[in-house]
Amino acid sequence: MISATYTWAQFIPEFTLVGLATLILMADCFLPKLPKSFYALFGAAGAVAAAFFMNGEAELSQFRMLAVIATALTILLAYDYRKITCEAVSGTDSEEGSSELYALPLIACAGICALTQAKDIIMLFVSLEVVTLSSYVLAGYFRRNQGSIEAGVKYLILGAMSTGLLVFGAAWYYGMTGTFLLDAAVVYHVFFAADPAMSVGFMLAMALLLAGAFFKTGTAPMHIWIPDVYQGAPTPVSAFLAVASKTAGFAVLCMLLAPFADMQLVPMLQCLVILTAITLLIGNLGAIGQTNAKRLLGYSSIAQAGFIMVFLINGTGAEAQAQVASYLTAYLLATMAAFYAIAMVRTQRGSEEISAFRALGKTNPVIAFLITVAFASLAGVPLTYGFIVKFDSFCALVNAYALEDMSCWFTTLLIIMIIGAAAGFYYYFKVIREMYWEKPQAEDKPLCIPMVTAGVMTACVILLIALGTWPLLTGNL
Amino acid sequence: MDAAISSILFYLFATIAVLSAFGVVASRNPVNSAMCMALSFASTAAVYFGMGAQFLGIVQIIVYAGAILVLFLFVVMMLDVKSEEANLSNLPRAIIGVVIAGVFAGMVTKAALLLPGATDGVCPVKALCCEDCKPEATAATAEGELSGGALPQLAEDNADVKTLGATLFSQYNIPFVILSFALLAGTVGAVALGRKIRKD
Repeated sequence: MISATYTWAQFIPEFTLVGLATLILMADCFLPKLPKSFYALFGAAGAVAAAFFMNGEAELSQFRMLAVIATALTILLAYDYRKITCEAVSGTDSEEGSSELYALPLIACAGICALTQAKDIIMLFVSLEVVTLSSYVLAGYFRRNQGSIEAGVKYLILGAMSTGLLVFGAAWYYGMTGTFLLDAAVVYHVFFAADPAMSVGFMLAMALLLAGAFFKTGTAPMHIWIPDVYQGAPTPVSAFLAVASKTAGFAVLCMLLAPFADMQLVPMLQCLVILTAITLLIGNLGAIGQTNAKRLLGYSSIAQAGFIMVFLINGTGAEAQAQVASYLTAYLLATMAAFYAIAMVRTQRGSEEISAFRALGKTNPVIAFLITVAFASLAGVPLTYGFIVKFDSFCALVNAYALEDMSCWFTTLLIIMIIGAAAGFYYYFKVIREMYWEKPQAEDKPLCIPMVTAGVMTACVILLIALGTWPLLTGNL
Repeated sequence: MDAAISSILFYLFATIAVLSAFGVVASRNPVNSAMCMALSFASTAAVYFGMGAQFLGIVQIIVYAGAILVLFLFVVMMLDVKSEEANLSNLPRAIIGVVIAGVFAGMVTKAALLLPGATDGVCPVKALCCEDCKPEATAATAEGELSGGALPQLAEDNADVKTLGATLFSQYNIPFVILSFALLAGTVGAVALGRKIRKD
């Protein structure tokens, strides 16, 4: 039996991250006098430091970097959100019992980092479980908040089902191939050398494994949990699930589909096209009626997953992986900025509804501009990075037309993508309209901007604009 | 072991496992659910024994039936969970659920029946437990190292424990360590969610 080989040295960043998490937990236990907010800064700094241990040789190293950055930003967001955390965890101003919110994302991040280095299904499953288990706890972390408990339970039940599908798929994969290795040679062997009946079982295995990955990415039909969980979970956790967990899902998807890079498997492509179309429709049309900003970002997360899937329809090789990673980068920058804004509004105005953003353009013109750029990038307005990657996504579909006998399918998908992108302009601009067109109410005071939020949002927006205009200036799109 | 009896026992215990798993979901009384779960665990353990994986079977009984389920029952008894109220039946939703489950079950069954050896009396499962079975007749038969299917026969007594240990601590050592991160996350989570907050 062939099996994948790993070296301990490969996993130094993972051990560093878990070591950091353990340090935070130990400090929480033995140094009760230390302010908990210190852990947040320590954890975020440590996560960034762990990124330096990473070598860029691994195939999915970009995904790994994205996951680490997303984790550091999540922990920093939790730092700015600590007032709400204290209320929701202990019911008082005491910070007691809030340190796990800084430690668990680090463990989850270690899982994602291990995931990107997986070469076989064993490692893939084990590291995905690390991510999933930490996320269950994080989603239900606000014990005094009904919404958070509901989010935790929903995520637990649906997540357990998707894990079940993944494991069942892994069993079929092993039964059909005799190895857990994810490799093009294995796929070729099943399709061309072995009994034709085996390829049926193998396709079943792939379908089940992909269903497990779709749960994390938020692709239909495994998207059901997203709006409820994003709305109910603590805002930093929603940000983590939206960005880091989605990155993990797409890493799995890239890994599972990579062996098929050189073969155009029409039935599988048809399935991917149908699922992408449904995802785009549900995400974009579902978002239109939303009034809660976190729920809106939940549907936005489904919609963006649809646009990312298009890259994988065009191809699943190294080029497509790089495109997926760059779309995820744009998504990370814009979504993180949006969640920071939501957290800030929630802390100071006590609401997560879109209407709570009212008149920020008059009271806080600078922060309103930053929020505008973030949402414009999600919608795909030119001069932001969101436009470049969405444009890439359309280009990828046009390139896919090389496969002629599916051009009818691709045309349908193209129309749905255009509808989705157009709907995006409507629902993302609802927030922007609220900020500039609504009149301030008497009790609205200008928000005071926390340092960390200001820094992170400014950095995200500068990157979004810089990455969005640079290709236009240099001329290589 | 007689091939026919091992088959009969497999189907018997597998049926019990599936039916009692169904009972876990269908029963409205939490204690009944837990009891059905115990039965399901026990029959799964019996299936493991039938396949020659004694260690796995014992672990299944000790860990699941012995530890987890008892803990579960304790919680049910201590919290005095009332039986679930009969909710208004939602027929369209129930029909959609049944259709999806049925299609999925049919898909899996069809794929399983297509496998070589599934219909000509050479059950793939039997290949795992009977000694005289031929590897050619098992689920996956192909040349070279990529061939899979039948697990190698375990020769000596307790060989499965040895094999399991050797595999876990050599070939799959790193994934095994990564799995401990999941346990860490689970432990931290249990403490975080179950902890009593001091109010002083």
